[in-house]
Amino acid sequence: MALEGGWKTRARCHVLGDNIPHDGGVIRFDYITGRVTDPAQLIPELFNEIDPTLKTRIQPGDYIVAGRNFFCGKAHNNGMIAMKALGLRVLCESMPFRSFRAATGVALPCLTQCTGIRDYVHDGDELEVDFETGEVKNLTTGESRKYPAVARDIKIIVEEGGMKGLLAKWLVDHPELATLA
Amino acid sequence: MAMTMTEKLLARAVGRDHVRPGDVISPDPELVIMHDGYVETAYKELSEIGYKRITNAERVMIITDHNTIQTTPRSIEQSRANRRIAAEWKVGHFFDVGRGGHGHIYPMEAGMVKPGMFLFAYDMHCTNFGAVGALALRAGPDIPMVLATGSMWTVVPETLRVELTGEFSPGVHARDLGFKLSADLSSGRYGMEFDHRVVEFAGDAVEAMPLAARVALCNTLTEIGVSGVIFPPLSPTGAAPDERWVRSDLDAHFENHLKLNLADLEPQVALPGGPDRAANVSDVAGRSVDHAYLGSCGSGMYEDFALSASLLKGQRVAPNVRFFVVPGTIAIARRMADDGLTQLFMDAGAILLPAGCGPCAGGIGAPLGPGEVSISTAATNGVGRMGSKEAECFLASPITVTASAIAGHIVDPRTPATSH
Repeated sequence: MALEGGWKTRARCHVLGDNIPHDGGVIRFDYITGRVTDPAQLIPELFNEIDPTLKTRIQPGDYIVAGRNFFCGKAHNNGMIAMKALGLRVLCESMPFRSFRAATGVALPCLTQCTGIRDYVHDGDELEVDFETGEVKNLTTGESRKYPAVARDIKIIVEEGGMKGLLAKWLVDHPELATLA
Repeated sequence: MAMTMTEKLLARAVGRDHVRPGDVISPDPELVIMHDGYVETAYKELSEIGYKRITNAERVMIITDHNTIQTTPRSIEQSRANRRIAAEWKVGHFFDVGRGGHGHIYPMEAGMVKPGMFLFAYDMHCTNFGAVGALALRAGPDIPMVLATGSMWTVVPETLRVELTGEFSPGVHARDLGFKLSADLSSGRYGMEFDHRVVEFAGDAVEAMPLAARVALCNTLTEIGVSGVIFPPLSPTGAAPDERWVRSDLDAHFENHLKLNLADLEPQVALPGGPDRAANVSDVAGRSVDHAYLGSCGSGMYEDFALSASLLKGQRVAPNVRFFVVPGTIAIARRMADDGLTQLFMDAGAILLPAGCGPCAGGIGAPLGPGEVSISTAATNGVGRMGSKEAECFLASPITVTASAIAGHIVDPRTPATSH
């Protein structure tokens, strides 16, 4: 399988701050406790608690640029499911490991070591990002920087569609697991 | 190549000579542990994809420690489902309610988690196993991946080495160090990264530290986001060292070093909200409490109850407090009965609950009502953790919890407690 749109895309970016929590930040908390996982329900609520107007500017395939500790708090994935459904991609200065696991699990592409990205990338800029090389070009200003690329193993998981995709593939390769023990 | 303990255990689990921090690996676990609360979810996820069996089922342990008091139709249904799934998957180790005990304590007591082992577990407090020199990584919602494929991806973590010297002052306990260090790391006081790091304890004080104190330290640091806490190897069953026991090389790369003197520490509480919200107990002394609880994966070992009993001897639990005592395992409960501790707790007015998590697992068996105040050795104290969202949960050491249960309010255990 391949990542829709490939690993190098051009899109507009939306810049957020540091320490944006997943629960109560990216998505409202009662949708987490309510175990809402349907993207159709989640998408209208995305980022509402940070900026209720943000979702009106977001287009499928856009980049979410964040500072340190993006998706902090408990590593739930409901908001990530909505972001994946919209084809969004994440560029941030850092992300808690448990959240990175969760994002990878739903096949949400993230570059998590983009130190200082907000120094040259501003809200609404057009970016060209190549996850395989780690190059982030600001097409609006012409400035470009290079960050650690997506790890090979993580890339494979995202291409397979995250945990569910990997599990489905594993079952095809291990058909005996579809029979009773 | 010089390596830390963690790197050595992970290298062995992937069959390589060495690994480095940042490597993405899929280590092969010797044991996979999940508690009763997630079995149905994992089963449903795998069944929907078409799985009817799991890989390396003989290595999988399902252990009932959350719903040990099955008083609701839902908990009875869950328990039935777990028995059915354990049989269908043919898991190697199934401990139903009343059988083993706490999934973060029993496997050490039974010698199933040994020094030098690498394992995966569903629950984050599997960091406990670092107390014997084993490494357990939390799988969380990725546990279906481990069950289906036998492993899952992870990233080799950096290690923060903490050297401990000196001795605790009277009234001070390893839980106090855990709260203080959690607060100092998460507040950035040391300017050191802790997310997905392993905290490795070393130094003279560690060599003398009993297993229960090590467990308390492993447990208390977990919630700030560390991936592991690890100590030099120690066998809880008295087994002789073997070639699987590993220590960090002297010239291994540690991301950071810290040196702490235990004598500098005061008794702490964790204020409601999280184990890293540490404060000196003197700051909240006098606060009336309704509910006290000794147990959980952080303080559920025999030594914790013996310590509490030594303070409770000849005293009574205050009339305004209901004090719950939750042994970590069936064997600990039996030993407490054999040694007279159970009698002592009952004579003092404490209430014994079945072995397992106790009320830390969502209030099961001893929930809090609105407006109530609890002081306990629970693993964590987020809003609503033990029942009502309008209750306040303070965390403290077994010493401070017991002294407060006797006094009826939060007390500095260095001041002698007296019964009402």
